[in-house]
Amino acid sequence: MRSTIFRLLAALVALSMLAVACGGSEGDSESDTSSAASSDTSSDTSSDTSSDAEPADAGDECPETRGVTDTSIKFGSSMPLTGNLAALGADATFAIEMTAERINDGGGVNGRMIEVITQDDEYNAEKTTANSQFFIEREEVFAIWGSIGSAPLVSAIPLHDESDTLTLFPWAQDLSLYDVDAHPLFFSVNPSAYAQTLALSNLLPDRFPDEDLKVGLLTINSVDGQQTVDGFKDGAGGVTLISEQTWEPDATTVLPQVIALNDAGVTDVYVGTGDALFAQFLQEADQIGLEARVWGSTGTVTSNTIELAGDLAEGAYGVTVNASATAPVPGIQRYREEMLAAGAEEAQLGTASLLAYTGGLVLEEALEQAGPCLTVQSFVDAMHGIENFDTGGIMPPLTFTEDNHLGNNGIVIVQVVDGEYVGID
Amino acid sequence: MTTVLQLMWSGLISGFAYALIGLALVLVYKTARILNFAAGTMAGFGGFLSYWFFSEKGLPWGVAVLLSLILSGLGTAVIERLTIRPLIDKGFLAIVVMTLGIEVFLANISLEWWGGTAKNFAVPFDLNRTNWTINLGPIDGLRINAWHVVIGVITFAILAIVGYIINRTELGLAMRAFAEDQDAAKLMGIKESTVSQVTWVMSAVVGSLTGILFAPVLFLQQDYMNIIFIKGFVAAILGGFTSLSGGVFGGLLLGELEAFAVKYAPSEVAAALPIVIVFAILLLRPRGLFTRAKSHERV
Amino acid sequence: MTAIDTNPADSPRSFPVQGSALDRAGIKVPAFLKINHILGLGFFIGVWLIAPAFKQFSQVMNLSIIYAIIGASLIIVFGLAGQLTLGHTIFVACGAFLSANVTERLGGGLETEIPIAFAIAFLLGLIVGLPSLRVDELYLALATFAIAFVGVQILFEWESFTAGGTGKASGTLQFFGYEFSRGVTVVKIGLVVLVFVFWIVSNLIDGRTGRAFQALSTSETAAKSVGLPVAWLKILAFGLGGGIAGTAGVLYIHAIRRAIPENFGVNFSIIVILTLIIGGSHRLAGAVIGAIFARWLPEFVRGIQEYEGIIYGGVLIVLTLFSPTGLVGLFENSFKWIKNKIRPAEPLLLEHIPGQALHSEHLAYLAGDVARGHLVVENATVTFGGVYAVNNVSFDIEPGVVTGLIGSNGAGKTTCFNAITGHVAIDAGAFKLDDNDLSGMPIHQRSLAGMGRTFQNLNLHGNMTVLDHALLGLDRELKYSRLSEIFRMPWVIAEERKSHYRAAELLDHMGLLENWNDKVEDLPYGLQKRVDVVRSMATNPSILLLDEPAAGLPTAEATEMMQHVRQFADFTGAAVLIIEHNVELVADVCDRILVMNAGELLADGNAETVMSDERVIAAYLGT
Repeated sequence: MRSTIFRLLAALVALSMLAVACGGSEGDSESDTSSAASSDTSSDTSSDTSSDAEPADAGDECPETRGVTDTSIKFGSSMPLTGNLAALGADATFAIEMTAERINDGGGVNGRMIEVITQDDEYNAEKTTANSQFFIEREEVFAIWGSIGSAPLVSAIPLHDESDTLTLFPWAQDLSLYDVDAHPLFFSVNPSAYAQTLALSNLLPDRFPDEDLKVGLLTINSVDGQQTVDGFKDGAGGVTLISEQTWEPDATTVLPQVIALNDAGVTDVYVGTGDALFAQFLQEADQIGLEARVWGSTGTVTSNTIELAGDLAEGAYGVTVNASATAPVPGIQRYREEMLAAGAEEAQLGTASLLAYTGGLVLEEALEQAGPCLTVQSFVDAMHGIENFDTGGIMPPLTFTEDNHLGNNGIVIVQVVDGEYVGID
Repeated sequence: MTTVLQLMWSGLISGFAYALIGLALVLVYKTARILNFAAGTMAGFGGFLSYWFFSEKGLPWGVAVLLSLILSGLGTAVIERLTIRPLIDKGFLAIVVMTLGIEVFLANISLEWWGGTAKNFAVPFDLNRTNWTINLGPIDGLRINAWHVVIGVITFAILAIVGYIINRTELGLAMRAFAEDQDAAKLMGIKESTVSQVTWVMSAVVGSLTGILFAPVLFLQQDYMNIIFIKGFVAAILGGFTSLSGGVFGGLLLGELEAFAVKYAPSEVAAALPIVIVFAILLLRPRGLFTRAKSHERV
Repeated sequence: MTAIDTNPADSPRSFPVQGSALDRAGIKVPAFLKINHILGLGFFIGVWLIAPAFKQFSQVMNLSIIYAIIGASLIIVFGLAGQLTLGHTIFVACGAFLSANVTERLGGGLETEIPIAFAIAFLLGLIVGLPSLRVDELYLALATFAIAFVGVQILFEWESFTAGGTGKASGTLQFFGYEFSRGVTVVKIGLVVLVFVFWIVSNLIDGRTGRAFQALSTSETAAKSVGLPVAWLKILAFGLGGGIAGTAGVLYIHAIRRAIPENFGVNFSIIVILTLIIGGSHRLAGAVIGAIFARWLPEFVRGIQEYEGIIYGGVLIVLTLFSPTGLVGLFENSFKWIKNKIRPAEPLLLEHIPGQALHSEHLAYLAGDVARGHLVVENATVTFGGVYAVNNVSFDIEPGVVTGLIGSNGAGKTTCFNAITGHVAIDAGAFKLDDNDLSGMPIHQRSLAGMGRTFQNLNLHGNMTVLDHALLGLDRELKYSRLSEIFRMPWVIAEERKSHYRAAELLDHMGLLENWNDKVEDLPYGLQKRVDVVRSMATNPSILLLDEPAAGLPTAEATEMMQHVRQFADFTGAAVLIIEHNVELVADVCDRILVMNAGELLADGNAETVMSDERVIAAYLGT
């Protein structure tokens, strides 16, 4: 009896695996990509593009590149669409899709339309790696564009590197990603958390030269948290780090931490978290009567923070990598116009969306510069050629070189004034 | 001194949350021997429903809250009837898994309906933004938030009401009989289905109310009640999972432990310390703090 | 002396022995490989062969394999031993970080990573298993949750091991210096590990340890009473489960390239438990099916991703409603149903000749020339909060004699039993069995010293078969270590065979042979009572304590049961002490009767004396 069962089980599983094979590879991919370079089918290596070996100089022969046809370029995007970071994923995806539409409405880039496939990864490394394989081997995309979070990306990026796939403009802040030797196909406009706090720690004494600065940190125990603290510690002297607090990502209240910070007599507090938790911090800081300047990290600079915290957000600083969504600079104005016209809500205009959008601007530029013969190498070369790219004030002018795939090396300080984030020099 | 009191007060606030969810969990467990893993998501639903009623439907705040409580109760009754009742004889594990399934289901529906962006949960008179400072001798400078006071008051009210129902009404008597010995209670004519349903509805209403109480504190994000659920579970265990007051006490204790650990324990252990202490308590008193161990097992 | 025919040699029927009970009943003899093994191997070979065709799904296949291995490890802790653990993935974390550290500091590849990960995770498992001795079920769930929670915090803080929140990257994937490229090769490596793990777990399930785990999960009390060292077994279950999960951890970090502490918390633990439950926690196939479902569902629904969570939750709900034994259970029941329609199962019909089984060569070892079971009870006193359940009771049970213990309800008879076997603590008194002082001995050691007992509430292991129950009792005769059991060494198979033959004969003796393969929860009450008896008989006790063996049985069955017991006792030389209410039966069967009332010994003598004792009549018999 048991043997029969096992026998039939085996058959069933085999059948379902066959079903997946039929369902997966044919159903989703469009006919456009069938002309992409076929992957090597030796059983031990993942697919590799045939493009890099060829010289990319403009010639009659343009080698075929995975994900690129005469009429389209395909991108894959792995975002957390469910789970804790669902809002961020949705915002970033919206910005990416809107950018693709805008480019396509204008006739595409060098005659090619942009196609983006988005898949949910729940901020889970297992799913991200599965998605990456889906994008690279089944959908055969040109590059991976956008993602949220360091943890999933550091797991997936080896897969990208091994298959010569570009990893472009994520919102991830882990230090290891920026090592050009390790990840030559990674480009970003988002400095690492470490760099951000390092810059802040250098900036504070300049801004408040007459004060005896006592700084408290409130970070989350996760991939970036430790790097945030390290960045601060490695900064120039002049600030005393007197209190390091951590909280669990889903803590009920942060009152005890606030009490501890208050007791330590901090003059400034840096809070590394997202919009809702930051609003909660502001609320509870007010409840305790904490008198200190508050500096929120990149993730806190969204309209939603102000929406949630209301008056309490007044005066709070934000340490971010791009201008706020309400800054009166042309780049932001254009961003707002496009987003709102496409149906975005105010609450969706924040860092996640801006990073994706700005990345999209750079992407568009690089694709244009790469010219009609688009290969991975031509793209990389184009990126290296981008100097002082003007984003209309969203970020400082962006420059990419062979040693530096992070175009944006500065931080932007913003402050909530009259219910809106405004930039401060 | 002020600091200590301030810490105690802040510990109480989270303690109330754990106590209430712990109460909801113990209620269901005591009478139906079920561990409700969906309690956190259900509590969150209460918050979202209220928000929907007063934000998008423009109903007055009180009405919105009341309506959402009623809906939670009804919805839970339906869920209980359809999914839990059929499993009554299939064992503890089957029902636990069912509640997990319900949790996943509800969480995804919540995401579909309300999206992932956090929302602000306004309360009447802006109570959650009102802070009072007490200046009285040794406790100079103690600050109390008005909404926290509301939370405290309502928590006690809930405890009192539930306690009253359990101890002084016929229904409560039936529930207690059921908790003691299911078979005997059934033989006495107490309908299992009624007790089960009433217990679940009560538990759901308490949960939803907790979700509403804490929505202004945590803001309405998806899964915002989840960590409270886990801590409430811990609280219930501390109380032996059969003593209502034990669960409440466990919750308050846990809240206080957390608060003081943050301030006084080295940061490396602060997050883990409360759980370690709970664990140690469990090892010493395996049946919880308040349950007397059974003197012998019937063999 | 009695009306019951007890002496096998006097039976009017002569014995041309008809072949062993095992053969007559068609019981399969234990072997190195079963059909299941071959099919399983075939399945995995099949996967190996078609894997290259699916190389675009290699990551998903990798993860499925890893989840299947974790599922197998959970089967040990949860499926077999019944311990609900919410912190299992801490072992996976352990293995993952060990892998990274080992490749970083010691060099080497899988050949060092896997053994080290297994060993350390095993040790960790032993430690984690300790709370299971103090608390059970619900509280254990909390304890394991607490361990997982604290464990993750420790990982965060232990920077030299995990690099804190940032986590550690995996080393290169290599084996004795041979480096593997990614893709399908990783899948194949995973398959090899999977086959090995499944083979080990399967051997465990078929061997004494698997039986012991199952026994302790369904009735700890009974397990102890047949001499199983329950405490050690529980810890061992955690250890083995942990070790295997640690091995999975090594594969895991190679699959996702970087291990981060926050990934290994309670959420992950709950996911792996759910995965196994969906698949079915009572069969190894369940681990595979669960893993395939969990990891492949996202691939199927890529087009409708928003609904993935709802589908998952929906499946969980529907499955729990209709098939609590998981998908495997669903398949099994469907096949059974179909099979029954095609060819309805016919019950086994065997001839049962009383007393014949005892003459079989397999039970020759039980023959005892010397009467044993001299039980001395001295001044036993048991109180429950001020009530004297047993009050200063003393008596001597003679070796090889059948003694009855009667008295009204509440007289303290069962409590007396419980005191003797160690199930209840005594306030005063001492017990000796054949000159062994039993004081202070835990239950299972008393059983090993020669004490066997049955229970008023039977305490059977519901989902185990009748044959299993007999095998449980015979556990102490098995001469192989658990280590050899894992690898199914030849002597393991020989011992298992011996045990199976013996068990079959014992079943035959008690008239249970036809039901050898039935789950005891499906049996009628009368047969269940017999299973209880045969289980303790199998332990070859010096004294057999039977607690109301005839309760609820019609007279004919009761008489027959006692006949079997009597024959067995005479054959082995054991003593028997019976609690009974059926006074006629007691008078028939017992050489001597003790009467208890209100915790005290009222009378002691042979049937005639006791029946005519005035005090006894007043307290118990009535007129």
